[in-house]
Amino acid sequence: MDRRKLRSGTVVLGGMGVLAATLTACGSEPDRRCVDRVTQEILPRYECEDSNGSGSYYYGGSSHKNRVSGGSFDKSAVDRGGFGSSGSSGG
Amino acid sequence: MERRTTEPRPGWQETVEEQGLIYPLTRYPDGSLRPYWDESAYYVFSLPEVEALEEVVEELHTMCLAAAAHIVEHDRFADLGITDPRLAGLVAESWRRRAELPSLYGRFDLRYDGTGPARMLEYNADTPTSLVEAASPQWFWMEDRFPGADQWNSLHERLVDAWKRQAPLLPPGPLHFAHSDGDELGEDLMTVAYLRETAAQAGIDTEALSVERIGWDKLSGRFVDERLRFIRSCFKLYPWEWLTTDRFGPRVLDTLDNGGGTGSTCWIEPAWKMLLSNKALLAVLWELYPGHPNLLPAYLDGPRDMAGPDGAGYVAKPLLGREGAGVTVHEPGSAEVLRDEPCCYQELAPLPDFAGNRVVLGAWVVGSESAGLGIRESAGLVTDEYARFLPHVIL
Repeated sequence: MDRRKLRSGTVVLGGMGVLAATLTACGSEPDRRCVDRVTQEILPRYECEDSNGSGSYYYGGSSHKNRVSGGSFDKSAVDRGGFGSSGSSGG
Repeated sequence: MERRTTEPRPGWQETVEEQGLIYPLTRYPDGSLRPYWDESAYYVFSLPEVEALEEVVEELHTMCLAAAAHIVEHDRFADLGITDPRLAGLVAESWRRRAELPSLYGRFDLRYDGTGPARMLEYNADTPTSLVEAASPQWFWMEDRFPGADQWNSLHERLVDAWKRQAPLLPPGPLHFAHSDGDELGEDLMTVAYLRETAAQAGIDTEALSVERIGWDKLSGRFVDERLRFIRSCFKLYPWEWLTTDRFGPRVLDTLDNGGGTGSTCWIEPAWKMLLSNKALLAVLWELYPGHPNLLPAYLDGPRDMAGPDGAGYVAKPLLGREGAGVTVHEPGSAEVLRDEPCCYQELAPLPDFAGNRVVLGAWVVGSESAGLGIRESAGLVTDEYARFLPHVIL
């Protein structure tokens, strides 16, 4: 019988180096969709670009069957910087 | 357990950087850079030695869980410095519902010299680091230097398995992985990147984030990422005591998913890990298991008989200190000194000296099983941010 092994058979790192780069390079803008405020249905872009249009921009979230959810009509309603400290968190 | 010196591999710095260790050098106060990853020496263990240590680790973990249960059942939260009844209630609930809450890993720091029993110095069960070097560069080092040999290191496999096992507990949506931008070395970043990689290998949909960039959407009353997507679950390398006391702290408590969808954000590690990562745990353990060979005497009210002319000496550890910060060492025969801040007073167990280096074993737990070893050496008795990491092999 083989001796019991205490080691991992293999270590796959995948894209760790790439991951580190993407982690530091975050900061993308949320998706912006033109949406009917009441039905949350996605509308053609001109409904938002035209000041008489019936659409409002909806930020973030996701769309399913032409309806949005999980995002916000008001980007400025999001408060940031409520977590954070000056040092290392690990130990 | 033996320390052997050797010639480092040519190009070792680039090699370990490619393997995730992007902080292979440490800057000292005098401005000099010295290796953090130090392969000019390594440690050799025998298999029976490691098997005995594995048993110790799993027994200690079981005892720590018993101590956590004791703290909850006997409402000992004040001993941990948790005075907010609401927070205490949520930690207690998290403990009771722990089977529904994903939790991943922890690291015991052990005093061990290859002869007597290993002694528990502390348990970092909330935000342990030095994981990447133990799981990855150490494993590849063995493959280079001792092909086919063994190492106390199944970290990678066990982390992937732990994610697979717990994936059904995760709420819908991507699992966010958040580090703190406050750490400039990149250690926290790479620890989180590595854990994210292990989750991805378990088939979990993941997103990267930093805690500073987490947003609070006042309209929906939920935490959101930079693209305004809800943060339904988040692995955070960020201590619970900061998560709950930062400006967003009250929001964390308001929206806490403490198991089974009881809130809108589920944090990993879960809140009950606050019971283990607090130094008061050491005193509770000694109270429950007095004289246990793998524990050191520890008290909350003062050093007791460890001080004074016949005392063994003691170490005072702030309840929530990290990386050795705030730890004071009182040699044998020292008078009693009571600290102003809440501390745990633990018997002095000087780290063993191997060729002039003070050695501490970091024994990893994944789930509730022993998973591997990382060795750190330092110049003094307190393992601080200037410690060096050395690989090991079982021969």
